[in-house]
Amino acid sequence: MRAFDRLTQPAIAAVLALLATLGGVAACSRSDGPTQGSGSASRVELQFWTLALAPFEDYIRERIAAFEAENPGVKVVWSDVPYEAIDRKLMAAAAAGRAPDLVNMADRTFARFVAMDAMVDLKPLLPGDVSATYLSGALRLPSLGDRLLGLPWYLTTQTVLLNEPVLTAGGLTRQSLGRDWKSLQRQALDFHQRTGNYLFSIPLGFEADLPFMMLADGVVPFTEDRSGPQPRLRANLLDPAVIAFLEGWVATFRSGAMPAEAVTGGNSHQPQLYKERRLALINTGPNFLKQIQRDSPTVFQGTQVEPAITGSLNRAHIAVMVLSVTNQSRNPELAARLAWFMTSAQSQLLLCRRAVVLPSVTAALDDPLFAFPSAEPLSDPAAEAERRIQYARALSARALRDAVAFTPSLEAWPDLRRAFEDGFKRVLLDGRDLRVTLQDIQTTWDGILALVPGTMDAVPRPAAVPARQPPPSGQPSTQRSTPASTTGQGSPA
Amino acid sequence: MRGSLRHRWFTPYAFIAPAMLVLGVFFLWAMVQVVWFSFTRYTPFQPPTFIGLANYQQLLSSERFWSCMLNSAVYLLVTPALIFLSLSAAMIVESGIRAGKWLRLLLFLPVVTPTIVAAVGWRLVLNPDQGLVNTVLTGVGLPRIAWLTDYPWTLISAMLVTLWKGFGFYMMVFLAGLLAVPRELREAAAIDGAGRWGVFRLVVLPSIWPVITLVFIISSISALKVFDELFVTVKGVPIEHQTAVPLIYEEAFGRGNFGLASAMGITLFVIILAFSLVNLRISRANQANQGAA
Repeated sequence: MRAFDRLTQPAIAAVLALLATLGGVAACSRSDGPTQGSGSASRVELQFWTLALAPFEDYIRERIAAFEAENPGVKVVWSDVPYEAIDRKLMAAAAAGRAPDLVNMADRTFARFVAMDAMVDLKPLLPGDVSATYLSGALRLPSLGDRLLGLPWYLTTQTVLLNEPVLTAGGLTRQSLGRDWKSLQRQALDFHQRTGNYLFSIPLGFEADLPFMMLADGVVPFTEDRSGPQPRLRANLLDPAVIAFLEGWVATFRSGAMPAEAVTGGNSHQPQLYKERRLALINTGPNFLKQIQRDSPTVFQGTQVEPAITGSLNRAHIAVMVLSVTNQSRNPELAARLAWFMTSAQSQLLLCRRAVVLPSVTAALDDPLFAFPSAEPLSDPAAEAERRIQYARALSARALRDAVAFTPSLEAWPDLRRAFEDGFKRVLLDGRDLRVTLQDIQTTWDGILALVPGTMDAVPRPAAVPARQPPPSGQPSTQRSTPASTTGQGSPA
Repeated sequence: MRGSLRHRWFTPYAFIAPAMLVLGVFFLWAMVQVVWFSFTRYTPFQPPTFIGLANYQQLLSSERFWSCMLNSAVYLLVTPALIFLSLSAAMIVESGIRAGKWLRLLLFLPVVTPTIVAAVGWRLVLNPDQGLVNTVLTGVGLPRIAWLTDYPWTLISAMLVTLWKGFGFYMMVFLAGLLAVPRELREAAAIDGAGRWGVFRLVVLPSIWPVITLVFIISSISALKVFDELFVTVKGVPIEHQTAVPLIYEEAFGRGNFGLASAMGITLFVIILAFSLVNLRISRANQANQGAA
C-alpha cells in the first residue's frame, strides 16, 4: 500500500497541477462573449485607441461624450498609446483576441496591419459618401482596390523649419541657401566643416523617407510586367534614375555632411537635433513647431517657417493619420460610426484649433483657421509666436491642395520598405556597393511581389503641378520649388 | 485535527499548488504554446495554421538568423570579462581595504540602475560627435569611432553596457563565495610558504570554483538572451548587426510573424540548454580533477 502511495501520489499531484493549470489558462483565455459593458445589459462598449493624443485629453473626452450622447447605450472606452508602442501593443492585443474596435494609426503602421488583413472594409458600414467628403490625396492611402480600410483623420504636410542663427553661423543666409535637395547636398559638407553642425538631416535608414521622396521626385522604383495574362508589378530599382537619386544621398552621408542618426534615428532624430541646435533646417510637419516652442523657447525664437522642399512634382507628401476598424471588433458598424464622427468636419476643426494639424475633410479646409495671418510681425512675443504658428498652419494647408500620400497602397509595402531599409543601411554603414545592394533588394522585392502581387495603380504617380507663388508672409521668404520631400511623424503632440 | 492534517499525503502538494499553478500557467503552458506556434503560420489577426517544419527550414536557411547567432556567440565574450572584473573587485573589497563598504556600494549602484536608463546614459557617453569617449580619443590623437552605428563597434557598445550593469551583481556573488573560504586554510597555506598567488591558486580558486561555474552559466545565459542593451543603445542598426533575441523581437513585433519568431525562440532555447549542459559537465569534471589533485 505504501509503495502504491509512493507511486501514485506524485502522479495524482501532477494530474491535479495540470488540471489547475488548464483551469487557470481557461480562466485567462479570451472570451468570445459579446462586448457588453458590465453596468447595463443593453450597454455596448467600444474600445478606441488613439496615437499620442494624451495632451489633447479634454478634446477627446469632449468628442466621446458628444458621440455617446448621439448614440445612447454606447460607451466608448478610450486609451491613448505612445507613438513607439502602437505596433507592439496592437499585435499583443490582437494575439490575445482583444484588439480595439477602432484604432488610430500613422501610415507606416497602417500599411503593416493592412498586410496582416487586420482591417474591416468600411464602405458598406459608412453613412455618407466618402469620396465627396474627404480629400482625394488623403483618401488614397486607406483605399486598397475596391476596399476602404480606414478613414483619413488629421493630416500634416511638410514645412521647412529653419534655425537662422545656426544657419548664419555656418556661413549661409536664407537667400544663399539652396532651394532643392541637390543644392543643399552641395552646401552641406562645407557647412558641417565650418561649425560641426549639420545643415539638414532626413531619415535614410530606419523609417527611411527615400521611397516617398523618390516618388515625389517622379522617380518610380516599380515597373509593370505585361508579359503574362495579368499585368504584374515588379521592382525597377536598377533604373538609372533610381540609382542617380540614391547615389546623391549616399555620397552626402559618406562625406560626413549628415549625422549618423540619419541612418539609425528615424523621424524623431530631426526635431531632437534641431532642438539641440545641431541642425540648421528640418523639412517636417509644422506640428513640431509647438513642440520646439515648448521644449526650446530660444530655438523657437530663432526659427523661421518656410515652404517645404518638395520633389520635382511640386507636391508635398501627406502624413495621414488613419482611423480603422479592426476585424476583431464585435461592433464594426458602431465603430465605423465613431470613426465617421471623429473625422467629421466639426470634430476635426476642433482638433485643428488645438494642434498644428490639418483636416482631411474638404469642407473644413475653407475655415478661416487656415488663412494666412497678417504679414506684419507683432511686438508682443506671445502674439508673435501665435502668428508664426498660424503662418505655419496656413502654409501647410496651402500645400495640402496639391499634396499626395506617397505611400503606395500595396499590401506588400511594409515588407518592400523594410527590405529597402535593411539593404540601404548596409550601404551607408558597411560601405556596401550601392548597385550590388540594389540588385539584391530588387531580387527580394520581386520575390515579395510574386507572393503578394500588386498593380501599378497602387503606386502614386501624380502629374507635376506648377510651383505655387510665395505666400503672403511676414518674412522675406524664398519659394522652394524643386526636388523631394520628407515625412513627419504626423503626431500633433 | 492537526495530527490528521499532518499525515494526509496531499498536504505538501497543497502547499506548493499555488506556485505550481503560477509556474504552470505562465511558464509551462506558455512554453507549450510557443512550441505549437513554431509549427504554424501565425500572425496576430489570423489564427495559427499548421505548416509542419516550414518555419524551421526557413530559419535554418536564413543568412540573417545565422548572422545574429554568430553575434550572440561573439557576445559571450562578455562572460570572461565579467568574471575577471567582478572577481577582481570582490577580492579588493574582501581584502579589508579602508572604505571597502563604500566601494561595494559604489560598484553595486549600476545593478540597481534600470537598463534603459543605463543604456541611454551610455548612448550619451558614446555619442560619436559629442560623447565623452570620442572626446578623449580625439584628445589623444586617435580617430573618432562610430560606436552607435558601425559594426562591430555597435556590438562592443552594447557589451560595455552589459559589463557595466552586471559586474556589481557578480561581484556580490563572488564576495559571498570568498567570505565562505575558511580563513584557517589560507593561514595554513601561508605558513606552509605559499605566497599570495599560491594561496589564491591552491586554496581560494578551488574553494570558489562552484561559484565561478554558477556565474559563468548565469552570465552566459544572460549574454545569449541579451535584448535591452541592444534595443536602446544601438537602436536602428541593421538587424544583422544584432543578436538572436532582437531578431526574434523584430520577427514577432516588427513583422507580426509569430510562428517564425517562435521557431527562433525554440532554437535559441535548445542552443542555450545544450550550452549550459556542456558547461556544467566541463565544470564538474574540472572540479572533480581538482578534488582528486
